[in-house]
Amino acid sequence: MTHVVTSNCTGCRFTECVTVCPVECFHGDAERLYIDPGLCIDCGACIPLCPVKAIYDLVDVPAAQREWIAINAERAAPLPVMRAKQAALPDAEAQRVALGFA
Amino acid sequence: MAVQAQIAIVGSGPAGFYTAEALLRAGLDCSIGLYERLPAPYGLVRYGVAPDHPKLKSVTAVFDRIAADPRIRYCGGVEVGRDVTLAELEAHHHAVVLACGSPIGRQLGVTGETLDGVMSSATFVGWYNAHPDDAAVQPQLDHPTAAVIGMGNVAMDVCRLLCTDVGNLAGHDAAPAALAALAGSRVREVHLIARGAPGAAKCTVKELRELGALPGLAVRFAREAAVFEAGEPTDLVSEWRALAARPDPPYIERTLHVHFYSAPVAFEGAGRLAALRLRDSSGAATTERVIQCGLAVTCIGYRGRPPAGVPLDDRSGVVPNAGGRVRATRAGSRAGLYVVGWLKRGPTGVIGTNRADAVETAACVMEDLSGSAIEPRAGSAAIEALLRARAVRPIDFAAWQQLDRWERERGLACGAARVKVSGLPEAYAVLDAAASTPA
Ligand SMILES: Cc1cc2nc3c(=O)[nH]c(=O)nc-3n(C[C@H](O)[C@H](O)[C@H](O)COP(=O)(O)OP(=O)(O)OC[C@H]3O[C@@H](n4cnc5c(N)ncnc54)[C@H](O)[C@@H]3O)c2cc1C
Ligand code: SF4
Ligand code: SF4
Repeated sequence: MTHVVTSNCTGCRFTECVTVCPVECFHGDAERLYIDPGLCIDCGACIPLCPVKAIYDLVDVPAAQREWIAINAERAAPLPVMRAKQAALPDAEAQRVALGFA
Repeated sequence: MAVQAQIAIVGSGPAGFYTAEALLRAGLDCSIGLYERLPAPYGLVRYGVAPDHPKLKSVTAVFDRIAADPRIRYCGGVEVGRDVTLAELEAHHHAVVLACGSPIGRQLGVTGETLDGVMSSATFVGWYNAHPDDAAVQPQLDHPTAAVIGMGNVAMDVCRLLCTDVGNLAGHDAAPAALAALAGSRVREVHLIARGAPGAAKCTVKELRELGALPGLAVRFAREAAVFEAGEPTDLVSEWRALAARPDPPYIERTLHVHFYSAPVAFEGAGRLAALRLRDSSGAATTERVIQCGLAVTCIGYRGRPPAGVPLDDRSGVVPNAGGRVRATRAGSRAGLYVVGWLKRGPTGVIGTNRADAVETAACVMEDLSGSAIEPRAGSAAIEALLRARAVRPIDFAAWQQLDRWERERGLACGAARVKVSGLPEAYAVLDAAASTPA
């Protein structure tokens, strides 16, 4: 089991989530974050912090988002660890509103 | 050369470790003494998190990595306020960070709370997790009915422990005495009692789901209509509804009775708990209900117990603070004294919440230390000298790791992940025995 960052994160990257991850298993590229399934301990701390509900427990990932399970697993580990909150991407606020999380 | 900052951290739970990490990562030139009263580190990760959640406990690998930094001197078996005073720590360090957690179970304040058979979650959880302070606890499991008061994640843990097959608990790190007692438990009916509405329960969907998933568990609602109150259901309310709507298991081992809008009025019995009296807290009914039960566990929160000399807010049970700086009075802070974790925020959040919180407290320490030049202080070397003079023997991290191996080996013999050391006397005996046997 693990937790998975799904599509809503792309292009926003509000990194609130990384500040509470007890094992620092978030990795990121310029666009978004991924969770390393080998490290995540399923504590659920990150879920309520994400302003765009991008993170799901593996068992709750909606059908349309299931591709992200494999993408997180493949991409996370080689990318740098994200430990501290980063500046959100410039379009993050607009994207949040567009996604319906005003 | 700049003076090295001497920092003392009191308590080695998540908040203590994450504070040490945050200070080191922020680039502070410092030496950190990390003091822990128990023979083992990790705080409630070891003594709070339920035995059937082993994956969560693997977070201790992160704490081990932090402890490996040579700038941290870990001293287990040292209680601040008993073996060394807070004033002594303050005299020898530039900053003292209190990360002592909130170990005292809150009281309901109703009559009968001191009856035999009524206990707080702090005690009950300490019992099944082999906390040295709770070794003598013996919960009454000889009556078919138990009550659990409160609806946070701790209440969910306690219900799950009472309703699960003991086979699901064995193999991890629960206290062997608790496993034996639970194996002989006669508890078949567990009443879960909350003052408020289904949506107001503080538990997470995940914990509720886990409880509901126990094989052989039937779930009943004292007032099922409460679960289907009008309004857009939250994820949590949807979970309650799913529980209410599902069929009973083919074979009922135990039954969970859920009571919303119910407030305890009194625990009744002669010396020993016999019944719990409830009143309706929604205002809809005036009649009281009585549940005959032999055990009641109150899971309504925790209060801090900081070392003597530290202010504690009576209402909230935390140390008054501003972002982690301890406030001595309404206006001023007490220079050099900080607080973090449950003692700062109260018993909320999960393990990782303490990481973000520690970053905040560490930033206060950094800011205060960078303001002016500091004079040299002796730090943990002075404290260790005091301890030696008092014949207190600190358990350093290498010694803890030796105890850790011993616990795992002892676990192997009975098919468990580990059997925890019972307290400081046993810890010293194990370390002495290891020292006297040639490797
Ligand atoms: C029953 C229970 C179950 C939980 N389950 C989960 C869960 O499943 N998932 C999750 O994410 N979180 C869980 N938590 C929450 C988590 O354990 C806490 O968020 C976290 O442990 C708080 O960290 P802390 O460092 O502030 O306090 P603690 O973990 O309590 O650590 C405080 C440490 O300070 C030491 N100490 C106290 N006073 C002194 C003194 N005077 N001198 C020296 N040392 C001292 C104590 O011995 C202890 O080791 C649970 C909590 C409880 C109570
Ligand atoms: S908080 Fe949500 S949107 Fe922001 S980086 Fe984390 S997962 Fe992505
Ligand atoms: S569930 Fe916990 S461990 Fe996993 S990514 Fe989220 S915060 Fe980190």
